[in-house]
Amino acid sequence: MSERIPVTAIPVKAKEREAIIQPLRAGVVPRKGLHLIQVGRAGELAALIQDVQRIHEGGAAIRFVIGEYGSGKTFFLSLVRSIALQEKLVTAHADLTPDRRLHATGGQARSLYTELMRNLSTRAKPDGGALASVVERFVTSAITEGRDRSLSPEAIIRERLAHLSEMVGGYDFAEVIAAYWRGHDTSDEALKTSAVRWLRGEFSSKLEARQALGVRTIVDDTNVYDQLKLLAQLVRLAGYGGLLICFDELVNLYKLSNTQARKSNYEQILRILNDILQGTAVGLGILLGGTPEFLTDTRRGLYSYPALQSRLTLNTFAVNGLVDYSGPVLRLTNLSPEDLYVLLCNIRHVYSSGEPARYLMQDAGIQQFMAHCSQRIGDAYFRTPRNTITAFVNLLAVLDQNPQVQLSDLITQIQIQREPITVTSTSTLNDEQSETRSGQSISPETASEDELATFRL
Amino acid sequence: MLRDLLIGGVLGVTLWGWRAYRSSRSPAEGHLSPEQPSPEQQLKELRKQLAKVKQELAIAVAKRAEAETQISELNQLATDRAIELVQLQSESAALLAQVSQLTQKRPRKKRASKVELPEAVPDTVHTTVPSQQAQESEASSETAPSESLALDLSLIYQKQAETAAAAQLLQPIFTEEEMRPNSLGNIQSPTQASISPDAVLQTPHQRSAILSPAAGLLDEAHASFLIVLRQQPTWKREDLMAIAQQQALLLDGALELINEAALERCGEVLTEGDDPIEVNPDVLGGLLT
Repeated sequence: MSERIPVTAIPVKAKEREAIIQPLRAGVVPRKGLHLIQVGRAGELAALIQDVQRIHEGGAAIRFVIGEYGSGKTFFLSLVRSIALQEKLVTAHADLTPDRRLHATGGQARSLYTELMRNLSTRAKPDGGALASVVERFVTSAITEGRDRSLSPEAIIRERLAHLSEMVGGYDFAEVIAAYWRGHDTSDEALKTSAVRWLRGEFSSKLEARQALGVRTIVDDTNVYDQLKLLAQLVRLAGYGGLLICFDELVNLYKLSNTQARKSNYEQILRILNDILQGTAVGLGILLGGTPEFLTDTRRGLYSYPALQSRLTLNTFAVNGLVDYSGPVLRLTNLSPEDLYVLLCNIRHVYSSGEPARYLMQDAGIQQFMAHCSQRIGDAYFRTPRNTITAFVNLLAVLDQNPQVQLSDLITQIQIQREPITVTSTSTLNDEQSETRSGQSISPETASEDELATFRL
Repeated sequence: MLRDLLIGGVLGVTLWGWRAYRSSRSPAEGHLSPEQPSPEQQLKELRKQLAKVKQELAIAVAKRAEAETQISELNQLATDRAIELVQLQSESAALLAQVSQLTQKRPRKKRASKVELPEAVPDTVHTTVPSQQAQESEASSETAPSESLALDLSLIYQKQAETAAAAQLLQPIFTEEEMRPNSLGNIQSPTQASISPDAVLQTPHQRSAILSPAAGLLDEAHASFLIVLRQQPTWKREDLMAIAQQQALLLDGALELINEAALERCGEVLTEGDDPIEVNPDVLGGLLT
């Protein structure tokens, strides 16, 4: 018999328990407490934790998290995001859709930027909407410094942001931050609101921006990445560790049928990759989640772009069980029944608030449950485990509230259905369709309602 | 087969009739006698005969189709029976093997657990080994999992080891601030012990004394703002913004800093919501005392 792993009783707070159990019961990925149900992937996590530390120290990092549907990309990205928040980074995340791309000419790139700003999160505001907090924290630090040095806060702001003017769009960016301060100083709420709107990318015309703030540029499709770099600088000046940006569902780029549109997006990815690998970006981390075909398809995937293929090619020595987590590509393996077994054990642990004595089901019971699910829906019970997990939590809830009930009686009553693999916005669009669809006002939140189909380890 | 013959017969008879009719007409071809029927009548008759033949042909084809369906149904039934027989044979063989295994290898007095991985399932980070009593009681109450579920024990060990390693990586990140309240909470200055939290914070000296644990985290302006927050559990954003402005602070920035301090000190944020803004009294107490 192999050596036993010592039990480390991880305490689970009541708030954490609720934050995990309720979303799981509803079939969505929890926002908090992901570390309590994480299964395996220690090597991948160690690599990403190193990346977070590098960003915190003023470096930069980029990772392509590649895995099949149901392999746990979204869960993994969420976990890394929560690690980054704990490490005092600011995070932003967005799913790519036909209406949200890295490069476009019809407002889709700006739409992606707007979505990122909406989801901008800090440790104190993990649910997004933290842009104003970040700006105000920066301005507050400028006020404090100005008080110490007997200088006006605006002078301090300009001094601190002076080096940004060398960057693309840096001058106007600094102007907008200064305008925010002026709005506060003169109790001009409209000016403050305009500044925040500009930073969120909500101005659609340069004229409007000029009238409101006196700047000549706005955030548009051409300068999204430059704005993100500027924001990363601001975030560090405000006292945070850096900025981590997570893009998910990159398969939507692969599905663009217009070759030129696809190439333009891949060129943008190449630009980001070069910036980060060459050390030009400061305090910036980018995570991109996609499927294997998005990466390796030589006709439509990233590998169709030779410059990207040469940079993202796998280490030829990392074969036959050897791994290399230092490259930009991180491959996540598919879920197995054993993974699910360990996950259900972890959920049981969380359900009992971390007290093994209060476990509602023994290990054999979990296997019995898995056997039942296997009989009902076959391999789908562990490949796309949302329904399995929901059923398991429901089962625990009934066992908890009805101690007289036998597990065997309940298991036969479990009705579980196969989870259809639904991909958000998978429809292949041609560029004309997408151009007409986007326009200047794109309806937000169209695609990622069903993040649950992607509940992954 | 029979139907084919029938159809062939019908067709043969029809052909023979047609030839006989042609041969009877052939000597008179080209000479229309007054006794002979007119060409229109002949055509009509021909059409009638053709319709009759067509009808017979349709009946024959329908009967053939019906017969084929019956045959295919019989074939399907026979195939199904054969598959069922094979399945039953394989199941009975598996059952026999199981029975022989149980009767030969397992002692009778100790009832074996019916699950596949009885006591070999190792502790995970979150898994316990159920006690013998619990195992037995469970074994008596639960039935065995299906044969279709086969978990690889070595793989489970590997996954659990990896999960333990991941937990070790994540634990310091996610539990760091949880340790702080205890460690910092135990450090109390003599002045803190003597001054109750309800005491009115009259002087800056008293204020800094009570806020000494937070002194490293908040400057005086934000500490004063924190004290204002304790006045009521819920604030309208408008009201709080006016107060922040009076103190030369920016509301969102101030709340961000205070919540950061609360996370460092208590592991939770002090305020929740944008409008109204709710103050968590427990966290406030933790920050002030």
